[in-house]
Amino acid sequence: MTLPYGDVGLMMTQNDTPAAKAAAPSVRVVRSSIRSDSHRRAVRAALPAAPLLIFLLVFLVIPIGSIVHTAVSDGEIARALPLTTQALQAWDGDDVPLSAVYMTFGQELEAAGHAGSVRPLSRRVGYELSRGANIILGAQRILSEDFDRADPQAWKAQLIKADPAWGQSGVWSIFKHYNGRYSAFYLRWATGFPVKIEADGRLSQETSYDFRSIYLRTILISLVVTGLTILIGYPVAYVIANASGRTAAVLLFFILLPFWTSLLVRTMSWIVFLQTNGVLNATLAGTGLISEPLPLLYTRLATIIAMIQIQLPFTVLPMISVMRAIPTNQVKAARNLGAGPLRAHATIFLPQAVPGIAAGGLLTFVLCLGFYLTPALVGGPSDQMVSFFIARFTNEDLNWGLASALSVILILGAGLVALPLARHVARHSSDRI
Amino acid sequence: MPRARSFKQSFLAGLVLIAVSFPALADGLTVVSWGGALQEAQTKAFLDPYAKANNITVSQDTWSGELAKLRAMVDSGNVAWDVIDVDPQTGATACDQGLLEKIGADAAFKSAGLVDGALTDCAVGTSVYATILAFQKQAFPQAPTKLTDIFDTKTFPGKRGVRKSPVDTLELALLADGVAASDVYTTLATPAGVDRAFKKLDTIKKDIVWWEAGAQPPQLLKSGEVKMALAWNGRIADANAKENADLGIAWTNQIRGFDMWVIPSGSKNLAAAKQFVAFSVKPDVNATLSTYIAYGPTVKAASALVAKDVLPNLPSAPQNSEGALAQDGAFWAKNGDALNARFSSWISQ
Repeated sequence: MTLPYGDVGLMMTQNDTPAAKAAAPSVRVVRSSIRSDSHRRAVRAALPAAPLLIFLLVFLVIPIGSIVHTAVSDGEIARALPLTTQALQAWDGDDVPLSAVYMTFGQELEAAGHAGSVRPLSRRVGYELSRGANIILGAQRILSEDFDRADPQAWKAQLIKADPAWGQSGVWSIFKHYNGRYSAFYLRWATGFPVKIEADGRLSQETSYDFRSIYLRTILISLVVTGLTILIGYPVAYVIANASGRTAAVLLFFILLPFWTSLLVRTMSWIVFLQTNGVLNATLAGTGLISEPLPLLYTRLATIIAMIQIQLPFTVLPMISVMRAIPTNQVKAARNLGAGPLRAHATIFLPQAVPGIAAGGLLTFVLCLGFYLTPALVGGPSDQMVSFFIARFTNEDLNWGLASALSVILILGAGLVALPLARHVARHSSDRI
Repeated sequence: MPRARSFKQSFLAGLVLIAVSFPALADGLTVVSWGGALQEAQTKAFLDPYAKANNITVSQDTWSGELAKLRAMVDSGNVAWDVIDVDPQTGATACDQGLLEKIGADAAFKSAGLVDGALTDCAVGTSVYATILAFQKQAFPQAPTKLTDIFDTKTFPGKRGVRKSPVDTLELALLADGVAASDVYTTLATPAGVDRAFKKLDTIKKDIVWWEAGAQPPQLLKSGEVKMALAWNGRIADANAKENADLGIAWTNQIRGFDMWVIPSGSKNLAAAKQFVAFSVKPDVNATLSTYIAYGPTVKAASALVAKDVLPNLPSAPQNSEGALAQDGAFWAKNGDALNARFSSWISQ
């Protein structure tokens, strides 16, 4: 027989001793000791979970936090041109700033050249201004020439000689706008708002990535794959859940086999299987069903087929665990009462299997949102999902602000879908699992 | 405690050994090229002889012209590469952005006797390559004869391989749309010209399999994944010679470029890097590359030294030169960023 509050019990016995009575503590001390005691108990109760909490903090919370931070960090312009951005606050945005600002900017650009911060600046301006990188680097080049450095007018003339863009409002309005360390620029870009302007300040007609349709494509492919894996997985799960020991074990082994095979290996097998002179086309041609090989590889179809095969175990396993808990007698009773096999299944078995379907489907959907390797290898360029572009901007273009902003939106989107559904699944399956 | 001391001594000796071996690693030269047949040939013709003659370690890396990587190295002051192979447009773009040492003004290279266009502000050309049209010989009843046939899906149906880059691709689109070779770059410099090129590309977009590394087109052709592909001529000649690939080459409208050495700004072995580049353009050395891959020399004096049996496979052979277009590095340096962005977004739609 253990007391629920072991420590309190101990304290009571201590306080019953005459010595303790003599030095009876004040009420407040007792209270605070009880409070600190419950604190200690709470901490002690949390101790077994500490490794998990620390792990989550180090490998989930901090990285996601730093990604969010990168997505909103935008300090290149203010860092390279602090005085220029400050001077421009007084400019009303019409026409061009005063000659004095040109001089300030020119001197700061020269200083930035010595400090090596011109290229980050030119790259950042290039994201937002058509030909922006060339405009900045051209200005840097022409300032090394000879001209009257005491005269602001001369600075202005020199810059406009380098590029007519310096005589227009576009580039100055960008300098004026980004005078802080943070901005929503990358987030606006990643959510598909037009961000690029021309030298005269109008929106640029340059086509850029259509991120909205890329997100839409990601969601669409994920939904199709989720729907099809549920359709294919449901009968499989039903058979395994109702099979006897040995049959169930063999079938489960086949379901788990892909789990023990690397994702890359499975994707490459699909390439071998689907390519023009691959297994499938050779077989179809051999049976005389087709005269020309079907173009299967590098298509949306190939992407979806390979993703279904990879996701199937994730969908089937939760379904099996839920279906096994459904009493078979109920379906038998329904059949006895005159329901046909289909009706008995649809009214008795299926509703009780819904938590399993929802859990498997949710798992598959969220995992699909982040798919990268499989579409990259078996899909065409127009089948690439958001992760592909995140990887591209991270590794190839080194545009980490945009990559982070895309990631933030992906995390938010997945969270919006997953959280309500996950809570729903948890609520409705607590009595079954 | 003699034993303890001996342990301590040997441990310290080990530390010293590790310490001295690190500078030894940094003392070598790191040369970066485009992998596959080209890099093998460059290793045999340039890297190995240079390493042997100067008793220096040459390590290698590969890339596909991704400038962002180079930019990150230069910006962080942590340059791991010493000599890089570029095509004219990559070289000009990187030069414009201040990523490269301006070695073009060195007397050593000015007096090397290079052909026109092979010496620019930052880059020294070592060989002449061409983008050509390669095809499976048995795929079509009549063989394609020119690069613009890649746009002719009526006569030549099936999948075609194209490099995932606007360079060469946009020029060819305009050529196929009827623009004269002499007007290609002036047309492409206008917004209307760019629209026209993309419109032409739209007509074959669904038939294209995109490749990124030079070794891919011969593979795609051999596996039957594509029936024709734009490719670099040396890779196709190499696949024919070493793997009996039996691929045909259409030369008309070839787009000619130079493989050029550049030295990244802030290279830790500048002197050795320059010495190596100079070694590559010695006439007798420069001529040997053609023995290993079907690319022509850039040194005028080397032309006479090229083995006779490889001459017909070179881009510069008279019978291959019809309608040849030279890749305009300066144009791409100016417009590359915008065209790359547009191309990437176009391809992803």
